[in-house]
Amino acid sequence: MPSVSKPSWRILVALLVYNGEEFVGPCLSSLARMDAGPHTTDVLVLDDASPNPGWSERCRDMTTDLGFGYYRTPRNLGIPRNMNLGMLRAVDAGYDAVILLNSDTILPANLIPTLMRPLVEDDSVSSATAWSNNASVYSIPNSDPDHLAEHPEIIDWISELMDEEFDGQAIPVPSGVGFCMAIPTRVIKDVGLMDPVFGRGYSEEIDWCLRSHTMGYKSILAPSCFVYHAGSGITKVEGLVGDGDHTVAAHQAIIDQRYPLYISQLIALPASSILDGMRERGLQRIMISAARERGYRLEASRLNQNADERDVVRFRIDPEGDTLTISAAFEGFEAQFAVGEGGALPTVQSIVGQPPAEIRIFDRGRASKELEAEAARSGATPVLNRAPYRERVF
Amino acid sequence: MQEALEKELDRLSLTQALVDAEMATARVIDLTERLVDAREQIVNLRSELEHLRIEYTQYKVEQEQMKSSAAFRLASRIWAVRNALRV
Repeated sequence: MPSVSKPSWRILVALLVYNGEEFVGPCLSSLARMDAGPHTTDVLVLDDASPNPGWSERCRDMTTDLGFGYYRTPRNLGIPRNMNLGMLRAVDAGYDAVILLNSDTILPANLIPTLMRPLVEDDSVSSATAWSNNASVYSIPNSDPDHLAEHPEIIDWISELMDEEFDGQAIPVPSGVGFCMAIPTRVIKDVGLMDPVFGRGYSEEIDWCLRSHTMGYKSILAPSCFVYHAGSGITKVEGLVGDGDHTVAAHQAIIDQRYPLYISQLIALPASSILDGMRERGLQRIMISAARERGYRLEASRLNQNADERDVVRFRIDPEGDTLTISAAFEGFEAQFAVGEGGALPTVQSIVGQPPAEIRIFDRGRASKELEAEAARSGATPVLNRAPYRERVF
Repeated sequence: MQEALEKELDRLSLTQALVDAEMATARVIDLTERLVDAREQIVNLRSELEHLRIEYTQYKVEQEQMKSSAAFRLASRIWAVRNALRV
């Protein structure tokens, strides 16, 4: 059952723009496709005086054509102060919540009801962060994010699945992540704004969330909502962080000084099984649902052959049966399943609820032999044996 | 409508910029005071360190004088003989 959050809230989506022309178009298109459910939304594009020639004019045209608000700051403010402008506007215009959004994101159609639900249901939540392929330590990894960005329908589909799987669950986290973070305006009135000490940006949302925690609020991750995030897409191009860096050292030093316990909280969360368990549930749900909807292939292979066939759901076993797991891959996501007592084929059939469309054998081995025999007995699945010699050199 | 929005955001932006500027000034004054305090503390600590260095050098000279005295040399020899005899 998809998320339904009542009562109806007025929400301002503040999209922060600084150059990044290649990202903003897809992001705006996804905003235009959104279904707000019981809520009402307005979109405000806050262009932080983008310096690229002609881009601000083009951005303004794209934005206003879609019926969204547009504002270009007279001079560059930096991310924290641009966020503050969105937060101030939301408070000033009587919105119930603001969603601070980076422009290198692509949103699912169900963003609003799924991200708002934890805020509507629990007054003690100061921020809700969406789940994503790239959201700091809270990510659900994807090996081919560029492909994902080109297919917003997959992002919609995954977010719907995650909503069915997690049904509005809220996971308390040490801090929100600013790429897509929803904040109720009553909390802004209480906690205040982002601290401009963080200059051009990075760590300001951590500081804000930790400040809210000292006032009794909590930050949560909303696994029911999946947002695509390119991640540092613009900040790296603009030289805000170096290649391979995820933060600004000076900003991290301020956080360490102000909140000495934060770093240990950050280490403790991944060390617990909460995030891993959530990821496993999410990824397994993607594989099972995709396999049911599209059919699937079972492979016996040590090498991940045909990895470029992203749109095929592929379950893969070790030909010798040395590894007691079945790996599954679809659209850049990967999941693991334990092999049951009956062997690989019965395990996969029982997980998915239907036989594979095809079995491919790329290498000889005990498990490959068993798989071929099992398939011959059932007679339901064609087997393609492509194992002329050993798959690996040694 | 777009015009009204821009006007409203100009107002919000300007008001907040003034608050930020005031806050930044207060922070600069605070940081300057703390910097001056820290600087003073460094000067005091350096001066204390210099005193201790001088004191250390004096003790070192005194020790060298003691080591080079006839009494010290005699005592050292007695100690060496004592060790050799395993007394």
